[in-house]
Amino acid sequence: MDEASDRQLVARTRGGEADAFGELVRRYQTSVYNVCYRLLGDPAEAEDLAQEAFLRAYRRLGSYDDQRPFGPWMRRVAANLSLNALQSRKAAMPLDEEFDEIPGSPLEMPESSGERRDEVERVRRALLRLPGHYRAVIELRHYQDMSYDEIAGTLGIRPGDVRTRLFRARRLLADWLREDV
Amino acid sequence: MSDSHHLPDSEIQSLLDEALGERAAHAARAHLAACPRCTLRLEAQARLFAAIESWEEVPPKHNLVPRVLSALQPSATPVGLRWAAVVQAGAALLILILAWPILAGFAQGARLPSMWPLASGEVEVWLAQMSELAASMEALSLDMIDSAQAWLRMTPDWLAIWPLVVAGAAIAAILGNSILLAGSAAGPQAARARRV
Repeated sequence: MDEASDRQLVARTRGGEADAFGELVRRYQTSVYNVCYRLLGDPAEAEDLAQEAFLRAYRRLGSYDDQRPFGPWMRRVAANLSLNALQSRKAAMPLDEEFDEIPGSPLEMPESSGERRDEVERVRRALLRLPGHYRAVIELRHYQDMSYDEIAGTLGIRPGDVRTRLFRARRLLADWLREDV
Repeated sequence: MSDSHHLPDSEIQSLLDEALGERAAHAARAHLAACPRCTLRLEAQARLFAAIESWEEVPPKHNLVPRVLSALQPSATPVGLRWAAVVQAGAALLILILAWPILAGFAQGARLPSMWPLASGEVEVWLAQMSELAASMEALSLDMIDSAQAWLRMTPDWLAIWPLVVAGAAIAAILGNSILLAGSAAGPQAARARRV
């Protein structure tokens, strides 16, 4: 039997079938959890926020446009919720870095699968090491595929600040990846 | 080509982010086509972007499906607790009926003021009776003890154990409720707080 499409599951959920929403949770729990984990950096907190994101999505299913894919909408709900959690932490780092070029040699990507796994782990550590407001722009740009204007609207900052934060975040990442965090 | 004419990294990143205006993007591409050094830096930035996006997703430690579905359940009183409440209400009524001779005896012995003055609006009369009662509390206590003893003498032995039965029933009710409430706290309402 063919798997029901996301749109069908959304329609069944709207019709009162909670199990249909359970199937949507099963499909997207990993990607939603990873959004929360990347932004919050804490696995337990990320699980709680992911659960909260699904509950919020369920309550707001009436405003969801089912002509659009469910996954990106769901991940955006999770991102917004995690950003609120980040904001409430008030973990801010002084933005006093210079806005200059990334130093050092170009980043080399590893070839073998072992090296590849190490690289993935190094990237994970580096991303989680970033201050919250840098993780936010990286998440929204690289994982939510938002434009500078959309990121600015989401975070309530100017597009120019988005560009600056992205540059500084990437410079830190490049430094840490090069020196093996 | 002098360094001052090379593209800054910030501009290269904006180009990769597709965040440059049309004219600026066109100029940057034209420069890159003629500048091997900037092309190398563009490739380095592209590798950095790829590295950032190489995050491999990990599943949550606990399955979120049961947690979410439990949290979506309407908050209903558990069936066991509802039945326990009905049974307890019935038992309380039965005990009250059976214990009425004791209560009536106490009320009579204690000469408790009638509620009629209060019901008919004679609040002052009722307050005066209450004041008398408070003034003679010690004597009334002794009267109540006498009344209870008299009742116990009058009643057959098997009925004399009623106070113990009532106390036992109260303890059983408290324990039963505690167990049921503990069970319900571990049910749907607590599902969100715990990890399945």
